[in-house]
Amino acid sequence: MRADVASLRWTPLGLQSTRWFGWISLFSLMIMFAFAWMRNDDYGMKIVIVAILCNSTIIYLVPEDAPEHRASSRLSLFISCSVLLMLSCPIFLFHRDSTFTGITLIDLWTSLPVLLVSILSFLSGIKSWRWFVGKHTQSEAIEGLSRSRKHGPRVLQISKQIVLLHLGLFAILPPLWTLMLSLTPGNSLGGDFKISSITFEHYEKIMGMDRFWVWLRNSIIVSVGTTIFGLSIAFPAAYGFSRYRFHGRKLGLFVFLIVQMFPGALILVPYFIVMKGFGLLNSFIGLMLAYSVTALPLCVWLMKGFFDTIPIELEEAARVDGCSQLQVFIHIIFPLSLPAVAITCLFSFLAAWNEFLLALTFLSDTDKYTMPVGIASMVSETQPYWGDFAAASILVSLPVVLLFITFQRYLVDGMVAGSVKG
Amino acid sequence: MANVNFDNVWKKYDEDSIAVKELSIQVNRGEFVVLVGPSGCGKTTSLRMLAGLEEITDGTISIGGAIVNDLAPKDRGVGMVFQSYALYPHMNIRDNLSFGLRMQGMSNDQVSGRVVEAAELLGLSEYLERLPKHLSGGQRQRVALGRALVRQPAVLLMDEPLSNLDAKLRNQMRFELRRLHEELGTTTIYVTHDQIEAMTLADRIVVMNEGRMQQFSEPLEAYHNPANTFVASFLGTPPMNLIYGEAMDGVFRAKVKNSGKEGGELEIPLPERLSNFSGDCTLGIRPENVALEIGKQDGKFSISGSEQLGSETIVHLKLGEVRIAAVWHRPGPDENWRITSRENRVDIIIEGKDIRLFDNNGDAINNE
Repeated sequence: MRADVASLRWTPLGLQSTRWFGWISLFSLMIMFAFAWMRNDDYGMKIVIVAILCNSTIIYLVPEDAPEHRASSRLSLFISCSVLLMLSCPIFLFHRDSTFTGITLIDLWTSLPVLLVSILSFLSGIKSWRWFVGKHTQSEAIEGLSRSRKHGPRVLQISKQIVLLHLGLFAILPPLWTLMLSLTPGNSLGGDFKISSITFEHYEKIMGMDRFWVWLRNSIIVSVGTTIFGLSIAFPAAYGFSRYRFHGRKLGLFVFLIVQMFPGALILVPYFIVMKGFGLLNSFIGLMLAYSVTALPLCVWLMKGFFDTIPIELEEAARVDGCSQLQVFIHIIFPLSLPAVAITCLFSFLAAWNEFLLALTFLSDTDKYTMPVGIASMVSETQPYWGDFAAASILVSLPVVLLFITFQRYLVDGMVAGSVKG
Repeated sequence: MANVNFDNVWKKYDEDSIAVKELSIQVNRGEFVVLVGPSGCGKTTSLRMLAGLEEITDGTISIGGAIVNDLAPKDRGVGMVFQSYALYPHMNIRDNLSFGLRMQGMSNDQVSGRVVEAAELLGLSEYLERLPKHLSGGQRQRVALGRALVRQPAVLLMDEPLSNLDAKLRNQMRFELRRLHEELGTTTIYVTHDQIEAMTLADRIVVMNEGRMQQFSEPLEAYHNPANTFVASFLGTPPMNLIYGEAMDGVFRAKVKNSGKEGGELEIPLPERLSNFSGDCTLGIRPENVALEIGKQDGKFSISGSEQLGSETIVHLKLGEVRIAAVWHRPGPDENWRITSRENRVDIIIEGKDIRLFDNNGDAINNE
């Protein structure tokens, strides 16, 4: 171990942060580029390309460990890249061009991180110039290392949180948008939402519609039926696959997986022909059957995986204790697999609740429509009622959300903990 | 309580893997029998066949005179303690204990009476409302035991019940198991790979190897008069010394096959009861029966190492190809030093009554 290991391993915290945040600003620049491209903003695209180069250089110039060969040229390159990056933002925002349409929220959102990172890199570059040229002292390095150790994780955490926050925002944007639409008066596609003008007129209209309640009832019948029917097949099937060794076991499981890989549209026609043959078109039974079969492979796999974790000794103990196979199933396996049952129920319910294509194909009566088909039929009429549509969508999602909240505590695994040694 | 008979029992998974071969044992009422052997010797399979968790390929098993080959586990009147305890995780201790009774359709009063009784016997009374995951390993072990006992089984089966406990708890539970057995007198069949458990718990032990029973006798009988070389080398720490050689005219000559200047002939006079035997054989002698003569300049053996355990010192001796372990009891500091010094040469003294002979197949020779 070398005595000057500290000065070899030390990277100033400011520069480290610059690197971590640099990746965020690089991503922002990519988005900026995409927007400039969509607007046919050639000048903006050029600016962004220069900025991307500068940003990448900044990240590159701050290696994980202190560089072996240091030179003042690195420092000057770093500082100039920072300045260039800093300038690129205002230029991008304010450059006058024939396509200029004013600064939007998205422009601000994307350029703000770039601006902040460039300022950070400029300041930390100047502050740590001695490190860049390799003139820092040993004690400085030791002190700096301890500072990095103390605050480094927190800075890294912040940069991660920023990324995650945006991803989360991205995920909830569509439902948020729908909620907004449903509360906005009129039937525009959004954009003019104001807190002061919140209205429940769409909800009132939807709830006042007879068809809505019919569709809701249909959806509930089909979904609950699918769940019960599917589970009553999947549960014993999964148990068999998990516990018994028989010919065709592996093949069966494999085939289940393969079936899962076919796109829904492919099985649409065979389903239609089969259902027609059985006279089950335009009936809930047919729909339930189709949904259960579609959801079966995943349900079986899910539950088989769970059964595999239940120790066989528990069953053997129960058999010695006086249980028949069926009693083992009822008294031991079922209570222990409640988490798996809950998640499988939820899955089949959701699959049936949200399914559109099969329902649209099978059902021809408006009175037999399930919710998704019904809502879709509202849009396809001559005048699209976006507000009503959004309100209906929100209303349809509510039961699912409630289901999730109720079942959540069952989803927590760990029931088996403590049964065997540990 | 019932007696248990294994009559020529076989367990074959397929032609190549035979787990148990022609096992025949008779366990008397109230007896504590331990099946012991290395892993994969078929002891657990035998127990599981008795419990009904494993099919019997051939032969019959009877409990209390009734053949149980085709009875379901629940109809055999056995209680079983599993190695992993296998407590029902979703039931509290009371329900765990009473599950079997309720399955039998016993009335609630009777059930709670029995449960309370069992809980008191095992010191579990204050834990009845807890879930298994909130108990320590030792307590779970007791619950598993209680669950088997509460049904008052004709035969109590235990499959390595102590192997998941730490050493101290294991000793404690071992003692307690023996006490429980003496108190309840239930016929017990116990599987372990731990020879100390086997020696201390059993009325009789069944030593098994590669699916075959090697010896079925009282523990000390197996220890002192092993039926074959496997039993001799399986029981005891360190195991019995086995020396290969030839017997002729009442004298055993070891095959020293020395490859150097060290060594010389090793001749051991045989006792009268074995003096008629001649031919290739193996001589067995327990380490504690090997007395050492230390400090002789012309001693035959060199010392290749020693293990000081405090109460005793195990000395490893070497003469050419022959290696012998000897146990030196109650060593004082001085003797210790003398033994462990590798420059010492040592002679051994063996009494004729401690000598065992095994023939070429490894079976014990008894010419008494």
